[in-house]
Amino acid sequence: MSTLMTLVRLEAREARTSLFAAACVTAAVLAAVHTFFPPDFAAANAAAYSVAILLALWTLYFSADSFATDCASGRMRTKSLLPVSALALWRAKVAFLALTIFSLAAWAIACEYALQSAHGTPRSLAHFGEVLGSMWTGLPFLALVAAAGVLCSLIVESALVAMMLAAIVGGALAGLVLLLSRGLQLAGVEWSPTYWLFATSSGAVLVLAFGAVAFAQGQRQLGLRRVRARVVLVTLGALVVTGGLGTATELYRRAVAGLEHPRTRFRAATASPDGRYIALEVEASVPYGAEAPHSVFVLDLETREHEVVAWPGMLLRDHWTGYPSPWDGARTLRVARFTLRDWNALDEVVSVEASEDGLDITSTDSLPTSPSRLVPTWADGTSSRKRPDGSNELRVRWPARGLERSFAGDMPATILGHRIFLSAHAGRVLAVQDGTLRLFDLEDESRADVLATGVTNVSPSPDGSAILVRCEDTTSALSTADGSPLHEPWSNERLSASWVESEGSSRTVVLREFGRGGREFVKDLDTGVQFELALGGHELLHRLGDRGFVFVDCGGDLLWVDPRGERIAVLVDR
Amino acid sequence: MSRNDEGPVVSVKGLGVRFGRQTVLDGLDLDVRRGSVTALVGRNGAGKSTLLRVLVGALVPQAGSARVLGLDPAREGPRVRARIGYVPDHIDVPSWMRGRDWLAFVGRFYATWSAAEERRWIDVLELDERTKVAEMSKGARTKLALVAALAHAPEMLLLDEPFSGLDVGVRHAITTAVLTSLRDEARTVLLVSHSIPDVERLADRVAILAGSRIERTGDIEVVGRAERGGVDLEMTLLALPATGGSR
Repeated sequence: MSTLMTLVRLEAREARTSLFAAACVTAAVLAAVHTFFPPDFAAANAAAYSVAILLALWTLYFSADSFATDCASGRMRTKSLLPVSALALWRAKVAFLALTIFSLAAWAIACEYALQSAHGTPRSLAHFGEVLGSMWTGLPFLALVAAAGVLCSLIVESALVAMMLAAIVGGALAGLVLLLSRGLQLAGVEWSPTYWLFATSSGAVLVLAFGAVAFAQGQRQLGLRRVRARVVLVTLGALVVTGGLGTATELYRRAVAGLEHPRTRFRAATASPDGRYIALEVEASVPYGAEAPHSVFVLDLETREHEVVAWPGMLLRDHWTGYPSPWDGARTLRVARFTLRDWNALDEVVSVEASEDGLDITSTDSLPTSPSRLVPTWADGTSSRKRPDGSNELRVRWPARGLERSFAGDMPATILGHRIFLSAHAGRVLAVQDGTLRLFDLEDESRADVLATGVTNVSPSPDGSAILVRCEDTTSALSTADGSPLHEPWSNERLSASWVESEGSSRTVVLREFGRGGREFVKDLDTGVQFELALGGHELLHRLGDRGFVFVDCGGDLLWVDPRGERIAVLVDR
Repeated sequence: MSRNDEGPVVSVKGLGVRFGRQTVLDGLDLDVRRGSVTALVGRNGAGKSTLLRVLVGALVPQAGSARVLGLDPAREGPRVRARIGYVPDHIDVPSWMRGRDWLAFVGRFYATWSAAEERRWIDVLELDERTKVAEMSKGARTKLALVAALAHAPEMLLLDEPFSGLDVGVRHAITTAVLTSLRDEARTVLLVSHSIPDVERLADRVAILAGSRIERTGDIEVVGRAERGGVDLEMTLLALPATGGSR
């Protein structure tokens, strides 16, 4: 029998009571799950999560106990006086830990299969396998916890304290890997779940390597815990300080300080009622599939100065249109601030008000329920709901007349802003049904076809007063008041048309010619003014009411032009 | 050519060991002759156990060098330990094991482990190897440690006060049985002990550690010679300056 196997065998014999207890607890927990949870999916689901939690717990316990008890009792000193190297002793501990986790995992799965055979169904068994299988990405994290436990057991000669310390260190290391992954994303490295697994696994291996070094150093002064502790703490400290601070600095530099950074992309904008301020939602450009935090700046068009309102954060959107909620007299600018830990977890909502003295930024308690611009005041109370058969239903209400009408169909057929449009003219509704655009009048219950040809797509203007209707050959701009055309139809063969975002009631479209060298035009449908713009793709084009437009040009600069397209200023030079 | 004519089994030169700010060994020189029974004596905290830990590779010195059987224990600790037997002052054997289980476990690490040798020492020391460690007396545990240290026929035996705490009868029986056999086989023994009578009875050479270095070394009759004649090592030790705290 090899030295390694001899040592592992001794470890197993020493830990047999703990192993037996862990196996019994595992079986008891799974049995309890099948007793208290309804059979079929609920029990299978709970069992899968129980197995995962128990495995994490056992990993934490056995890893934290790996050196702590041996060092405290002097057993490790006795083993160290055998003719074996420090590395062999280390390998035996790690091998035993790996075997223990693997064995307990196999035992837990075997127990659950047995319980499923007795109480479950083939479907619930398959469901257990699916849920457990979906957690395989957590395996590297388990390895990280194990590595942290082993490391902590080197510096604390109490398994319980080492467990608690390992939980903290494991969390910190996971956070570090997360931070590092985000830093790499922002640095332009294409990130994927595979990389996450790789990073976590590498972290675990790295921590184990540090542990091996610390243990070997400790063996050079056998029995002196401070030697091991010094190596572990200095290494971990250096890792956290250099990795954490370095990445955090890079994150900040790229994501916050980088309005002028070439990688920054403008995602959305909304202007203050007087047009002096413009709120910009930006993000760092990252490879496909990667995630970067959005941040919100407010730019003063008069002083050209800007300040960060939220990082990470985003402008709150209109529920129906997806455009940023307008910043007007009735509604202050609302910005969601997210937590640094999780870029998608809401931390708070801030309200931004513009005054002559500058910006007034205050926190609000919760997400506001600001009305959508697609729901005119006459239709207050209009709502949508999902019906038992899975289809959507839009219930249009006209409280002043006590009228109500439901529009139902398959999703997204009845979504407001996609297939249903409420007119500014009270009681009128435009709806696409079977490829035909129809105008309904709730008052006299009349119905008229506006466009009888195959309607493929409809998009509302930001204020909801007009729609762009794309048919097979042409695209038309129609008023939602009565369905009348605002312009002659554009040929779909030649160009595409889309709305320019705006807070006011202006109805402006951007027309993009197809083909190489295709030009782009901005056309105000109310005044008829049209001019050419050299847009930088679809990044940002926003109307500031009478103050003109801001847009990103081909060079990536943010420009400000007047309503006739004459340049006023370069707002952000990149 | 007698074995005593060969080079020293242990050769230490300018050895320095510090623990933090405390200097335990400083410029220590020592040679241990092959086939001798050398006693390392000194007051508490003199650094006797520290020196033995350096020799088995459990402690890497900050200065100087040590060679054991021609090997550097700091770099080749496992190889050194494979060729020597070491009985420390305390050994933690799993209490659930029987004596024979521990011997079987330890035996797997030594290429030279011999079942016949194991049986021989069990008989010499009158050890009941079927007893559980938890039920063994301190004397029995010491015997177990000795068998484990001797069954691979080591070239040298290092004993770090293994007999402290034992009653006189047991101590006398063990030391006589072991050291007489080893001396007869011309094997080297380096013994750390506070029991001057044992040292005077068993050792043929002595090294006195004081002031972080070897103060005197040589044949016991020479080093421990009393003014009125005969050997009185205790008086020699008392005449030396005291050293720091215990280690």
